[in-house]
Amino acid sequence: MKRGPLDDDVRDSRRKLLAGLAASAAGALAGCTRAMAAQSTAPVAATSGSRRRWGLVIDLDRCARCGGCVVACQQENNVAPAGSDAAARMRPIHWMDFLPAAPGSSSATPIPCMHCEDPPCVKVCPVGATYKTEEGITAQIWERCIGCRYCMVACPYARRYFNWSEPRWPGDVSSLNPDVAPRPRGVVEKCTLCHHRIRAALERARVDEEPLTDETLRRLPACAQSCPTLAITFGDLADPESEVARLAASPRAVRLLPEAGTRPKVIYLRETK
Amino acid sequence: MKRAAIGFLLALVAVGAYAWAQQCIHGDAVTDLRTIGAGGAVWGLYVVGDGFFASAALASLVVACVIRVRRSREMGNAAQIALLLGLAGLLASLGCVLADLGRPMAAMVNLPLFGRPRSPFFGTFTLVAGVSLFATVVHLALATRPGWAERAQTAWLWRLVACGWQQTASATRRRGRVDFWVSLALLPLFLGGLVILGVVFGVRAGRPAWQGEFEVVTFVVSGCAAGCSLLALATRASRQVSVPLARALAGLTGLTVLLVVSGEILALRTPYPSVQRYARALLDGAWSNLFWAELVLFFVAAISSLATWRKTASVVWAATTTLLVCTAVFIERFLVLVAWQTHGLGLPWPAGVYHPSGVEWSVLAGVVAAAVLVFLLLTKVCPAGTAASPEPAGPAPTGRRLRLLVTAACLILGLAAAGVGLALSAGLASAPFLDPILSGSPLIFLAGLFLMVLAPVAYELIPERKARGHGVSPPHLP
Repeated sequence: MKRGPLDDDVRDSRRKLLAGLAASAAGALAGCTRAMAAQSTAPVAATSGSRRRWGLVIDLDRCARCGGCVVACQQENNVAPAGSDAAARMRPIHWMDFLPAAPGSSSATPIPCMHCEDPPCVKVCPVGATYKTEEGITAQIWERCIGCRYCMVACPYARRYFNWSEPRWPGDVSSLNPDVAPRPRGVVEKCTLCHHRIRAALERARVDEEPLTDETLRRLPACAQSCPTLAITFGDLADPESEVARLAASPRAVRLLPEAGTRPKVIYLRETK
Repeated sequence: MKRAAIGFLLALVAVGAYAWAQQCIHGDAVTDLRTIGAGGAVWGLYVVGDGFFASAALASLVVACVIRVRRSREMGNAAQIALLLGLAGLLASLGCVLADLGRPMAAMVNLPLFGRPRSPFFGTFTLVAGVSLFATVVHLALATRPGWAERAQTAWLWRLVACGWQQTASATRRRGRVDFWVSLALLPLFLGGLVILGVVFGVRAGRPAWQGEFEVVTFVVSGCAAGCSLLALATRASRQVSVPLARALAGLTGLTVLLVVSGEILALRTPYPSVQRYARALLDGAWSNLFWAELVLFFVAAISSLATWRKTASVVWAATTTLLVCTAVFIERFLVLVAWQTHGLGLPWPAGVYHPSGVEWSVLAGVVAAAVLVFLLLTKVCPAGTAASPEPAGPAPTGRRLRLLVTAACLILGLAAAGVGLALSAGLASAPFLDPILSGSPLIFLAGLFLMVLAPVAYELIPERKARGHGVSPPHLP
């Protein structure tokens, strides 16, 4: 087809337009790249170099269902006791609780947060208030939580709690544990595997220049420390020499809701009696 | 009568505001929401309301866009009403979200700073709440410019909205072109918003990313039914009968019944005990009354909507149909959201209960009343919009280059900013589940999308060079 002078004009103008657009896009991209480079002080992504995978093993044969772990957890982590009204309205907060009857158990089962390898609560949090630490603990930044409760809906184990009203403790607040921040109204809270105790133990080992032994770790969280029958064992699941890894490899070991695909790091040893 | 109705609506708004103040003072303990697993539901009436209003609003906006893309002159008024309904619905859904959040002020700060695209909520607060609302306002402002120009002498504000409007063939042509392309571009945004909402609010509690077979589809279809019913009522109230709308309503209502029944049958036959528990709770358990009521309402609404496309159908008839459809859709949303939390958990926690408290009902009533008032105010204030029409004959446009350049720059810069903002927010090339690489990058993403929405404004507002040789100066409106 023969082109007329008008076509040439149109083609020229189109060429100029495209050149203009390309220049604009290049400018925009260059500006953005510079902005990204200037953000060297932005929070750096944590590396996943750590090989520790903290986990719990709960032996249901040993567990006496005494509830000592529940009370110790409340005390250690400044969990406000629910008032009689709140309890009646089914709004208690128990980071460690009893499930009426879990798979592998004929009676109530102590159930903390499962600290999943693939936690659905972390995926759905819109502001990153809940996240996974390098060592596999599902942690929560209370100050950042907006109280949307999406994490509670997503958690297959129902192990998250919302502060429906302002928390109140009996007596003086000086009785609270200074290592754990109390949570305000309107935020979601959960078990942290006594993260503050782990940090303190790691720091102590660093200062003393001694390795952190498995014996030190086994009863580190408040629930494990308080258990009179030693049914709860804590440790590094990634360390094959640790007690917790040895127990996790037992043929009695089961995980809750494996079909959910969350790969929990809290493992139960099912009852044999 | 009209004054009494407005007085009643204002009273409802006041009651809702008082209830919300109570909630702000005493916390969410004044609601009947409770902890999942401890016998309750953490998402209740507010989230159901949010899903309902947002889906109805987006469905209305989809209808508005379809009408404008089809350049249907006879349904131009319906398109305008749909835009206003969409705006009011989106505001109502925002009101419900604010009422539901434990810390709404923290949300306003933290979402733009730390929003994470991996969360489905990212889509709801950026695409649904942010961009859809902004785009609707822009679309409405552009569509009504000729009408504002006619009122330009009465107030400076109208003059501002109508800025630069000239009643010329070229301006009309440009108006039609902008209307067509904006509607076409917004269509996927609104449809995408509906699907995102379906993913978020069709969620089965305790099942990460496990949607039911039909839950997202049911959400979209029932949302469209609610939107169409509200639109059919609004058009009927303005003395018009929209037959295609009434037909669509009948079809959508019937399809929703089919999807709800199929979902229930599949849930009953699933091998998962928890899903079966949920299905039994609907069929003959704790939620059976609501479930059967929902089915009956949908069935009656489907038949009643068949009658609304008759020209003789009264406003009362249309209002009854709308009430039936909206109630049924609301119950459907309620059952999907709440019954999963109370009866569908994977672990053997005790079954829960949820009966919304007076505070929750009051806040919801206040939000609905405020949305109705906003809609009425907008219909009173906004002039009729221009529907896109076939391009009139006239001289070829001049001075297009600058306009095209600015429009293209808006689009490209907006796209680039949105892409960069999204990449920074998602923390690409960093470990997963961490903060955005740059705090505030969700704002860059939003700003980029806003810039893209503003591109048609640039195209429409940048004046043309005076046509040489044609010699006729366009008549300026005051």
